Amino acid sequence: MKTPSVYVIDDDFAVRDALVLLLRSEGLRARGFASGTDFLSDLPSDPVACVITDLRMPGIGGAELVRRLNTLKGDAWSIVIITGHGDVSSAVDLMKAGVVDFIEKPFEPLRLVETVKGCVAQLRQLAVDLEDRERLEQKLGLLTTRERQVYDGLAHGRSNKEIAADLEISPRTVEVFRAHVMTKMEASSLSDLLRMDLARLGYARQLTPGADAAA
Amino acid sequence: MFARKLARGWQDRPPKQASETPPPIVNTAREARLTALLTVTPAVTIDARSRILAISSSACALFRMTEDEARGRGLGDLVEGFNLATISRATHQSGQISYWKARRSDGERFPVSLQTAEVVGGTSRSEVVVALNDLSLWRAADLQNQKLSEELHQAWRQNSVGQMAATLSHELNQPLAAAATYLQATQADLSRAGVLGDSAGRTLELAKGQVLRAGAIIRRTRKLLAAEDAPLQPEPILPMIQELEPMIGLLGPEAGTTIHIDVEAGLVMADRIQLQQALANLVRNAVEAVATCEQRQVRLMGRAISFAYYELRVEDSGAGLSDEETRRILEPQSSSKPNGMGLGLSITRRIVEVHGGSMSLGKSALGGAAFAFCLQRAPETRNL
Repeated sequence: MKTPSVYVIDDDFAVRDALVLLLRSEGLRARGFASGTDFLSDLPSDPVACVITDLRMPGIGGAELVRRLNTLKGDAWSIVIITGHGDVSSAVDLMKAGVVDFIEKPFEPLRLVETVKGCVAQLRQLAVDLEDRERLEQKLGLLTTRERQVYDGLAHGRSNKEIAADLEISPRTVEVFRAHVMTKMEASSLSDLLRMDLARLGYARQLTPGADAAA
Repeated sequence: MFARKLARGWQDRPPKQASETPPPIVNTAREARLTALLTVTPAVTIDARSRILAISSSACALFRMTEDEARGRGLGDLVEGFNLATISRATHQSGQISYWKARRSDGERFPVSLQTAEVVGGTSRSEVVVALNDLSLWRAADLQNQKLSEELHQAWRQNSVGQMAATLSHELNQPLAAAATYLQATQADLSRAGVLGDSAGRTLELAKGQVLRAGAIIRRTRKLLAAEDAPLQPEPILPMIQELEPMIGLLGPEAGTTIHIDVEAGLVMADRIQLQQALANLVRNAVEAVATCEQRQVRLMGRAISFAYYELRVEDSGAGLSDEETRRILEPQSSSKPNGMGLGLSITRRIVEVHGGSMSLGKSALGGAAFAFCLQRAPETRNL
């Protein structure tokens, strides 16, 4: 899969140009925009991305851009602020809004590169998780109503007998449906299935492989 | 004529008690008027040796002594350095005002202005009437006005310097950031090419270090020059506006502009000097805006608009602001474009922001622009 891109938004041409140059020379995919307005009107559709932006720009300022990106992209896009102004109070507000780092110009370029590389690594993992989740949703879409009901029962740790009672069908029927579910979901075991389900719900990183739930 | 009547009136009075002033013996309407005149005009009559022959009741009040205490004393005791011999006839005749330092009976010194007139005819010895004016109150008001003026000027200078430093440093930080980044990119490229080895890499690192050092110097300088933001205190609005009135009162007439102040009482969280600066600046701008117009009106208004906020507005009857100008004034200051607003308005905007408000621009009923911002109301404790 594609390595996550870095988008540089700064109305100063030289700062923008130098940053894109540096990021590319460090092996990253980078692209520059002259304003928040330009960026939003031509917004990339990447599932994950890293954005480096200045605060004081004509049109939509950096703070407003952060707000909008948070609304549109949530945690999937990481934002780093670079500013020539050094306004401490806005730093606190922005960090609270989930900005990854707040760096004053002129900055030690290596520091920015490290921060960005760290973001990109996390984003790469996040992209994988997002893809997995999507694949799971697709597979779930292929289950029949009954199969879905059995799946939900299994995901809640219900035994075959309990599921049979819940659904008012025989345990034998449940076993048949269970087999179908395992095949369609491409799960090798019950714990595998449970892991998948938790990943779908977003708890992927908290589960360690091998944890078994009672059947 | 007047002086003669004056002298006679006093001499004809019977001796009084030290603490009471019995009603004067009134012979004619003219004397009645003279008596009334003396009540409001502090005056003394002195002889050729500057000794007090008579003193009006208001002059007694001025010096805080009784007639008896004053009579016979040299005026030079009360008015420092006063010596009739040094005052020429020409001065008496011209009614010229001179300024002196006087002393009350309790020792308090105060500024006083004098006018003298010779008593012509009617008396055997030469007499001079001295009219006095206590300038202490006027002086106090003037000093207060000066003090405020100086405070405002100083705060303004400090703010200007701070603002300029902030703008300059912001402007400089851009090329410095770009330079440091370009240098880093070169290092990355060179290390990949493996061509020039350690020496070039080291030199580039040194160059980058200097650029970052320039940035640190700018940061430090800006901190030094930045005006400290004082914490906001609860301040009553009316006294703050009243203090500005003399200044505003000078601005208007000079420019042939009517400045109307319509401010309701209220208690707000404010930094008094900073807020006064901001208001003075807005009023000054408004006066400038109407300078070339037929209708020259400026209005300063203030009222509580909600439980939490008090709004101040400055409106003018000028040409108003175009959409472009409005947009430029309100948008966040851009890094590369020069400041379109002018130093004054950007300082004013900053002061408004420090007060927790934001400037809003609109059209005034007077036909021109309206600048408004809100202050936080301070909780008022019930009094009176």
